[in-house]
Amino acid sequence: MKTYFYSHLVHAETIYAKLDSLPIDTTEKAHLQELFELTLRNTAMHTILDHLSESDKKHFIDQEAEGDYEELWEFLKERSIAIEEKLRHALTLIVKELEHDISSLSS
Amino acid sequence: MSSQNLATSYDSLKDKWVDKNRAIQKSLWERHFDALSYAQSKIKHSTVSTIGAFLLLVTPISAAPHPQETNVSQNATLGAIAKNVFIISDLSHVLPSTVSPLSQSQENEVIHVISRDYNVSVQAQMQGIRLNQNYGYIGAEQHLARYPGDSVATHFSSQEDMDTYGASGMAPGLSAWGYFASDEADMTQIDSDREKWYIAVPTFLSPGYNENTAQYNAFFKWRKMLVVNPQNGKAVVSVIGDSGPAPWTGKQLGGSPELMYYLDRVDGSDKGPVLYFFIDDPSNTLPLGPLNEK
Repeated sequence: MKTYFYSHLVHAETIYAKLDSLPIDTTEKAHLQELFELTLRNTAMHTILDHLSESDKKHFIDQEAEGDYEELWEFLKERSIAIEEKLRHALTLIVKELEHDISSLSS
Repeated sequence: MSSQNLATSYDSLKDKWVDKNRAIQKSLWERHFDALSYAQSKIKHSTVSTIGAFLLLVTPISAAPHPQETNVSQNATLGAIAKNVFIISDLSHVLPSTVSPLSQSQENEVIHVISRDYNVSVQAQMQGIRLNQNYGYIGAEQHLARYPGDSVATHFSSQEDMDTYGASGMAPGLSAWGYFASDEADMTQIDSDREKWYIAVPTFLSPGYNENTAQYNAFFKWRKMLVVNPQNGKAVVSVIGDSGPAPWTGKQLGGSPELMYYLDRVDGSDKGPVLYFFIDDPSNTLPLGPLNEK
């Protein structure tokens, strides 16, 4: 899994373990892992952008592209109260939802 | 679980997660259009392999109207953006990180994605014939003479086209198939469209070409192909109008000036890749030209 600015907030071990346990080929498994990571990224971006002003959104996008996550988090915490907790909550919910999707395959 | 059930499980999970992503992306574009449009410059020169990661920052419609226009136009724009974003996303999952021939599994997956997302049946192999590859760098070709005497002065149907495409000039030789029409009076719209949207592919590198030259040339002549820019989702229904380029050029195929312009592909150091597959259109109902605008 690639490292993103939100990676420290995600506990995805269960998802990866569940995907590993599926009797699917490596191409299919890789595809599902990418879809999972894309879903996390989309969710993270949506959550952050929802809490920023228009000008701050552009600043955030610039910082995210540069990859300096320490500076990025300083900026986010300064501009939005409890943004890290809000993001952690959003990511936890989506991970649980995706876990449920996998679990429901066998039911 | 039987093998049939396993295949269904993968498809089921994949479809479900693709749908979730689409819903999130649609909401993102609706609520943060300006910010995401701004972000397009950040990935303008990204490689295919990074597009999946930077998907949210892509604005595939280069001429997207500003959202402060009517709600109808904004919705249409969002719909077009969404469609292209999904195509880009789907292709980014299966294309190799470098521009190179596709493996069999990659080829199968790309064909599946293209056929599904564009609703056009494409194939890498027809009648036992295939090109040397289906994913490669495209270079800019010149206009081809459609009939004896055709020149830059006679080639364009409007001054606007002349202004946009005239600088590419005329190729010094004829197409691999000769003229498109015997003379100006006999030239049809189909002839004109074939030249306008042609590609040049190295037919001579096709496996088996040297042993079956006449048969292969008959197959390749005006053969319809779908050409897709995987970095912006734009696609053109094209024909094989010429043979080339040479392998030493570092390009795997060439495109007419109009095709290159529409796909946002350029020659030189900023060259980019395209996907190109035979179109299965036995009743010849699919018109030539940009696919997204039909």
